[in-house]
Amino acid sequence: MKFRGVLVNGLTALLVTCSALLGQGELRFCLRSEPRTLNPLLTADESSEAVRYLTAGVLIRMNRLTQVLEPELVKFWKVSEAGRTVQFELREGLRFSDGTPFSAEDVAFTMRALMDPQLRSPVGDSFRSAQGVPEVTVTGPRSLSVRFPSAVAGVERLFDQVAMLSSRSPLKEKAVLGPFLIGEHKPGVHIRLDRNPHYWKHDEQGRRLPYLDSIYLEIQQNREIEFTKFQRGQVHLINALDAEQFQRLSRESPGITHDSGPSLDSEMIWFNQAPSAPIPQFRKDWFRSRNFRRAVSAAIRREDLCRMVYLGFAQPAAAPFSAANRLWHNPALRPHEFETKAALRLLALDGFRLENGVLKDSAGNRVEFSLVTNAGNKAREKIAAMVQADLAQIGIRLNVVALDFPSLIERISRSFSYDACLLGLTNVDLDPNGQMNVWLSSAANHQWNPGQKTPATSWETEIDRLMYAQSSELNQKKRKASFDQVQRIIWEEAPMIYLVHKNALSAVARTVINARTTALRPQTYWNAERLRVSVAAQGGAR
Amino acid sequence: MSADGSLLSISISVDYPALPGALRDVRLAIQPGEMFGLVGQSGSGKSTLALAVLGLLSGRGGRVRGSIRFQGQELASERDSFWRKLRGRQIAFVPQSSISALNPALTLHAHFREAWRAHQFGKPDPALLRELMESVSLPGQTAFLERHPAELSVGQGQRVLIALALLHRPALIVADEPTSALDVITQSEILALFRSLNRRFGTAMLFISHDLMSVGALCNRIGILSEGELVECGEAAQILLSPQHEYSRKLLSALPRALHPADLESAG
Amino acid sequence: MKIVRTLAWVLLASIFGASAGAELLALADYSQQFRESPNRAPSAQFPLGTDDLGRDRFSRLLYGSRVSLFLAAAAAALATLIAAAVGATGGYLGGVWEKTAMSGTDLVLSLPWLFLLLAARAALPLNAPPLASMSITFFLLGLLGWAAGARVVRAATRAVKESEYVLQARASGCGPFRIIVAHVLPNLKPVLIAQFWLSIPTFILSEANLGLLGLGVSEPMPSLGTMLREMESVSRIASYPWIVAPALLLLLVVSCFQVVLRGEQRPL
Ligand SMILES: Nc1ncnc2c1ncn2[C@@H]1O[C@H](COP(=O)(O)OP(=O)(O)OP(=O)(O)O)[C@@H](O)[C@H]1O
Ligand SMILES: [Mg+2]
Repeated sequence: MKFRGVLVNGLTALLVTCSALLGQGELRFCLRSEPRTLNPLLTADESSEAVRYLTAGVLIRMNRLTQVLEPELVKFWKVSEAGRTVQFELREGLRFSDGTPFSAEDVAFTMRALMDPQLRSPVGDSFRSAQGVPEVTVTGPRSLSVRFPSAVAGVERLFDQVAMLSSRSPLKEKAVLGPFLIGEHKPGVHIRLDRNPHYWKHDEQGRRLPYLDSIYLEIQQNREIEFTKFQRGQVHLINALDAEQFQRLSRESPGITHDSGPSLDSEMIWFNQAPSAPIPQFRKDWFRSRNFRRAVSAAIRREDLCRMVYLGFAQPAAAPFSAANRLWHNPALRPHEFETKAALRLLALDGFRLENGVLKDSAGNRVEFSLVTNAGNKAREKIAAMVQADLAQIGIRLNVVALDFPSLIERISRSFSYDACLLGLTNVDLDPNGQMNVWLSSAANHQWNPGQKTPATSWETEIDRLMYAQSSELNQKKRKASFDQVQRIIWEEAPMIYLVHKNALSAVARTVINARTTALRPQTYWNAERLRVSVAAQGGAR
Repeated sequence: MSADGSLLSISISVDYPALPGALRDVRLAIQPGEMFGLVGQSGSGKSTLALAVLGLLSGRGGRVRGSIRFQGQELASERDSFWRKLRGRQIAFVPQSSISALNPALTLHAHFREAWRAHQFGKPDPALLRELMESVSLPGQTAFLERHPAELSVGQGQRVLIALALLHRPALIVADEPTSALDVITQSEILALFRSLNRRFGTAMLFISHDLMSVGALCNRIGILSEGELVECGEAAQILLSPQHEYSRKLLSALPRALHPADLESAG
Repeated sequence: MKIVRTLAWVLLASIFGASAGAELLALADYSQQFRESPNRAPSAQFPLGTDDLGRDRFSRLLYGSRVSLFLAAAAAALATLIAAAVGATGGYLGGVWEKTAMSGTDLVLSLPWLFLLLAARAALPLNAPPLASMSITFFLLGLLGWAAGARVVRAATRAVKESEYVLQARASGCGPFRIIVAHVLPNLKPVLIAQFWLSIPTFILSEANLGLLGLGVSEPMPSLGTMLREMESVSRIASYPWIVAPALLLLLVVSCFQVVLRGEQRPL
């Protein structure tokens, strides 16, 4: 057996080298749902985003590995007027996939389409602000400037999401500037992306990119089937692998699994602090107490969550941004320490006391509340069960209620009829400006107490001030200092109790060459234009 | 009673959707306490007539035209709920096959209980049941009543059906070929039973059969039904001895010689 | 056959006894998390190993089957009762009644009852005890899960309706309601019992699926359904084969019941 394994490996290696020279093949992986839209301006779900990432040309691309913004369709860009204006100079000789030339007019056209209120583009929303919409001025066939109504630091990062459309091509949005174009689409079954023959990029040897002939995206909801297909070599990549599958795969064939460390995702709990919440006043009082929130946080064993729910492939969380966010992570903050005594001490400060294993508040009310979460997410259900057991240690009775998503959203954002909520947050945008809608007290996604007219607490006032300060500050150091302070306040006041950041786990078949996985989405194929699949892979070897 | 004193007097035609004119202008009258025999070949419409008299034809898709007067009251135009009060209490029914006419899932007692509940509150008195069972020559103990139909002989089953029909002491019993499934000895036992019941309770009877002999042995008057028409109707002796209609003669000539009605007349 | 039945009785008695006496038999509390020993193989300490959170699977199985079997049986009884009422009434009375019953059945079958269940769950207070919310879930399952059964019952009723014994019952003056209750339904017993037994595993599995939508039992309470859900992943079964225990238990209970009941039924 062993001998044969060596032989096979040797042969594979040989084939890999050969095919690397030939540089062809089809990459196959699964989308976990049918993309909701193929219009790149309307993309909101993950599958649509995958297709957009592989087909769309953008002016600026954030390198998923280095997290640095790089010029893509532009030769360079320049930010001026303290961040209000971004000037672009397009590359020469660019053509859409159907051969139509690409010009500054197309950028202007795309921006107009994006800002069209009729279209309701989610990407467009990130460009909009209370002061208005950006203005595009074409200054030459390949030069233009975009002027924003107010100065926003780091605003150019948003162009990573804007797929350039052609104003002239008869194919409309099907004419693309990215490495691949949609070759075939069978709804619910698959999407085949073919090489864009007019793609502008070349490798260091002058070869036209992409290397791959095509990418076959199979639409497959079932993670088990996806996993089996990967084991059989029928698909080449798995993104966001779950811990159990990752562990098994690592044991079976080490070297094809990749743990890219903590991801940008976080799991957290918050208490309902909305004044209009239809819950008893004494509970509102608990939830508004910093001591109570910190006590709850201190009673949770984050290490256990990481070890048992994620089999160790997760890190205890302290603040919104994990270490995966190189620029904005605040390394000074440590996760709240698990310490039952400290928790009880904090509770005692507010008059809570433990009587025969039952925690009561100063008025004698038993400390019992519900924790809602969305049903069907196994990891989250396990976290809830563990938090329940942890809180029982300090005499708190937690009622875990899993709700379907619409009911959950109804409760946490409209009726406010809930006590506490456990949810995960997926960060796509690395910049704190992408989180203005969470941290500003007036914001709709300020979950624990949304849409406040004036900040309810002094620390929320302070967060508001710091968020505004960092958003108009162009000096990166000063911005970082402001947002570090925001994260510290969140850590101290614990309006959101951060629990864990799960690791970004992925698997890449050995036959895929040039793969470099990263914690950021899309973890495995962010450099799709440079990936190759050895010919042997078509036969199914892994 | 009606003007002419009849218990039942009918004058009906019956149509089935598939067979219009299953009965055509059939007129007959039964006096209180009278044993009336209805004879006819298979398919001549005997059961149709029986069901019409019980008001059960609509359940079988048949439609009755004409008049059915019972104790002077016109029933043909009445609703089923009215019929229901008569059925079982005033006009009882003894069907042909004891095997299929008793509910296999129910004990005998349950049959009596349900038939009782149809017209009275509570449960039938055990003493009454015993008496009833004895009147049809069946054991009246509880153990027997706890049996299921599958545990009876065909003759016993037929007696149970007769007992059921007698439960409410009806004025009229419609018996649709109650003896045709039985062997000759049992047949004659049942006929004797009918005769004695008629004497004891004065129950009138519409006795339907394709068997002229048993009808002749039992009935005062006889009607002969052929292809939906009542071809002859009169005193039993007269019809058996000198049938007028050709069809009646054919029926008679089909009888074995040894059982000629002339011999029966004296026995009856 | 006798031995098989006795065996089935013994098994049933011990399963129900064990789940009723869960407190005595369980070595650990079903919610206690032995965090140092998650996903353990069966051992003396944990007869069926532990789950992801280090909870004793054996103890969870005992409690879970108590809750699930009892509630599912109650829901199945409710559903069968409704199916019997709707199916038999519609099938026996026919006409408008049947149309109404059948369109009601179709409506229930086509109703997006997940949304109804979700709406019901959303209306429940969040701090309701887990057992209460689970009971409501099963109650709703029973209330909504009768439609398929009603169709079967209706078809069977129509066969019974044509029978001689129903005609005989009508001729005794029995009203439609009594006929349905006393004559039709006893004959549908095998159909109803089959419906009942089919419903139990269906409801237990439904509860498992509803768990995906948050309608199932809530932490830390176990249910057969949530334990069965663990078997979704084939690879999990491969690595922890003992997690099939709940499925085996369910299979055992259902088949034992069938053996026992088949023996109980009188041969008709
Ligand atoms: N429900 C029905 N629909 C249509 N035709 C019917 C129906 N019931 C009976 N018939 C027809 O009506 C005629 C008379 O039937 P009926 O049952 O009254 O005959 P019968 O004299 O009782 O015969 P048998 O001695 O065989 O019982 C037959 O030709 C029969 O086919
Ligand atoms: Mg007949």
